[in-house]
Amino acid sequence: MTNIHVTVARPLLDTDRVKVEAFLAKKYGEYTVVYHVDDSLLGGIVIFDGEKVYDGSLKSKLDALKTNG
Amino acid sequence: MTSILASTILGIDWVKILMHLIVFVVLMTGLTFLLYKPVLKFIKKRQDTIQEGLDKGKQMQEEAESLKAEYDAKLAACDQEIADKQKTAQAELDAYLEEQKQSADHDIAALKAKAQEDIAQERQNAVEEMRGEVVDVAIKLTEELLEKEISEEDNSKLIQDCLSAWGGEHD
Amino acid sequence: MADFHLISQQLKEQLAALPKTGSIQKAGRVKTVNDGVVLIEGLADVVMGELIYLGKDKYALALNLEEKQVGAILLSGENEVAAGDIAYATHRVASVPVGEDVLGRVIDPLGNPLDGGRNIRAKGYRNLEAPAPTIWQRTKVDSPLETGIKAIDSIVPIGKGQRELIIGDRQTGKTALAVDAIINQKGKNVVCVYVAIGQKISTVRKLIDDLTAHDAMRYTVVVSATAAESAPLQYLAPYTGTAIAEDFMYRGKDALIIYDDLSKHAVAYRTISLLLRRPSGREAYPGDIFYLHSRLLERSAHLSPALGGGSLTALPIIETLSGDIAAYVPTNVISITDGQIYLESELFHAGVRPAINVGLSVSRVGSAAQTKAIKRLSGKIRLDLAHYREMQLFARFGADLDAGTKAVLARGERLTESLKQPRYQPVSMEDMAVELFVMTNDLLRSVPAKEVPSFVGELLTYMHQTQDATMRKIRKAQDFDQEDETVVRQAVERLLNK
Repeated sequence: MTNIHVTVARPLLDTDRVKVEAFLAKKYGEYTVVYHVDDSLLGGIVIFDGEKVYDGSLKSKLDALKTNG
Repeated sequence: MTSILASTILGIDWVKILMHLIVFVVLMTGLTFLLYKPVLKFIKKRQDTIQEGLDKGKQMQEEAESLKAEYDAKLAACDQEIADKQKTAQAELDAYLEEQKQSADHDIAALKAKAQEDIAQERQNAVEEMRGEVVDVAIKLTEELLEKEISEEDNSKLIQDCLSAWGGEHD
Repeated sequence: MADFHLISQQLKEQLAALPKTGSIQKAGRVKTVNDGVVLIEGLADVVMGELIYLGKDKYALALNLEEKQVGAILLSGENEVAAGDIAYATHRVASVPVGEDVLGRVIDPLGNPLDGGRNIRAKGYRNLEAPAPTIWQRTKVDSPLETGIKAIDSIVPIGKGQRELIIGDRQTGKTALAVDAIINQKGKNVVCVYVAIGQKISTVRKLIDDLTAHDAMRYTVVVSATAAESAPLQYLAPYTGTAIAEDFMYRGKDALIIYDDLSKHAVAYRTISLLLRRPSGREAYPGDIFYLHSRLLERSAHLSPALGGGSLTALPIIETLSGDIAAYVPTNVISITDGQIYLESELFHAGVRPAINVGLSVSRVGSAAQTKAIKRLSGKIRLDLAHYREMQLFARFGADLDAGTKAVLARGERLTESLKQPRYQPVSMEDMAVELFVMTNDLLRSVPAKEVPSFVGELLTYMHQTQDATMRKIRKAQDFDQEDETVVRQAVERLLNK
């Protein structure tokens, strides 16, 4: 049973929520999920499953620009 | 007899003269022995003393001259020694100065190299900083824009893209 | 303006190369934060000593690795980490910038500047933990590290690559010895690293001012983790110093490192271990307290010519309580080092400074680390002082003494006076040679003990003024032959007859 934290920049549209749940089901089988809203992400989605952070937020992409090179 | 003694021959009293002559000879002989020889001896002695004095004086003069020559030689040698010492001191000083100069040159070269390195580094730093600032400004702009304007569509697309990319990989 | 073009080009390329989708990083979640210890759920793949990133410039050191959680010690930001925060693995172990640019700087154990200057421009980075040189990577310790302190260089000489412990109660002059050793390295091409562990900030400030005043900061680095810093930083400080010094050693240079002091280092490690709930042993220290210091000190060595022949000499400092050198940590460090310099409070208060107890101090490298001159001249000095100490017992009881004993006592007093030395006045090798010659051949029989130092001072001034050639010869040849002996004897005669 994996505890998943999903963070988004603004509340998910229903269509997107369905897609997210499908993804989680496929990946984790049994899971519980908590949704957080954090507008500092600017966009995109961050998923933390206790072991890895899948960071798809716009903020982190912009930050990557800052540090790379 | 007295007649012979009293007579004069040709008017000269030859007896008296003879007497005087004998007395004279006796006197002279006596004087020679009593006076002349000692006086001569005395004079000779005096002469010898004077001569001795003169000789000694000459000898001392010679000695003094030889000593002077010796001292002169010593002085000359001293001068030479001093000159030699000066030369070595000068040589050492020159060597030392040369050493200092070389080490100073070395230091200067090192400083120059470091300065050039520093300049290059500073330039690099300035470039990095500038780059950082440009990126910061760009990001700020983007953030401002996005906060206002990211469309629902774009956001959904972003999420979907991420999900498909992640879903496709092994865990 | 070509730079602008360069930048915009770079950025364009980067934008093109940006991953369309986000990154995946190994991470865990902070379960509890307690006294600087962060318990993190997850992070199963983290290695020992790995740096863990907690966001916003906060790092922790992973030290307790368990199956489902990791115990890490916060290096900074104790008040800013909350339960539930994400903790990222960085896949790198603690490391520090090294290179020539650190010289003259004051830095913290992570390499950040503490002297208000710019960041260190590193030639490279070195891990704080690194293996010590192996057996075949080393060579014998055979050249002296001149401390400029008469008592040390003649009786307990230190060689390059040796570890010599400075041990004593508080306020006995331990740091002063270390500072004088640093000052004496001027012009000798030795890089110095001073590690301040758990000290008062004012003390460190004064030390830096002293080093600056004597023009020693040019070749010295100060690594500082004062008492105000967290225990983990104090724990890391000696390893940082060693990494910096090691870099010089592996590049063929000579380095000197001073750990001031390892007692506080042990206390910091004990703090961390207790917070991490590790089992404690004697005096509440953890089981690996010996390993803490042995792995640190074993990194000091004299490298073989094949590796450049560089060296790292260590002067660890341990503070004892009431002279108890049989306590846990002191005995540990004594058994690790190649000798110790034992400083006693009684000697200090009796005016013998440096307060070195010649009987208990030892250098296991010994004369191999002395120049020919000093080796020849200091042979008898230990013996003479030992005789003196024996006789002192008699003198204390006010017994009637025969002439022979009185002579030994007088000689010992003169020797002791001669070995006294004020701070910040390191003595050059040739001066030391002259003084040793004069004292071990007892040429100053007619001088009362109290006047020995000033007489020797006059003698050395005279020697430098009129016999400079001899002094330079001694320094150059590092030897003291018959000719020099004659010159010195004559000089002494002349001064005695004045």
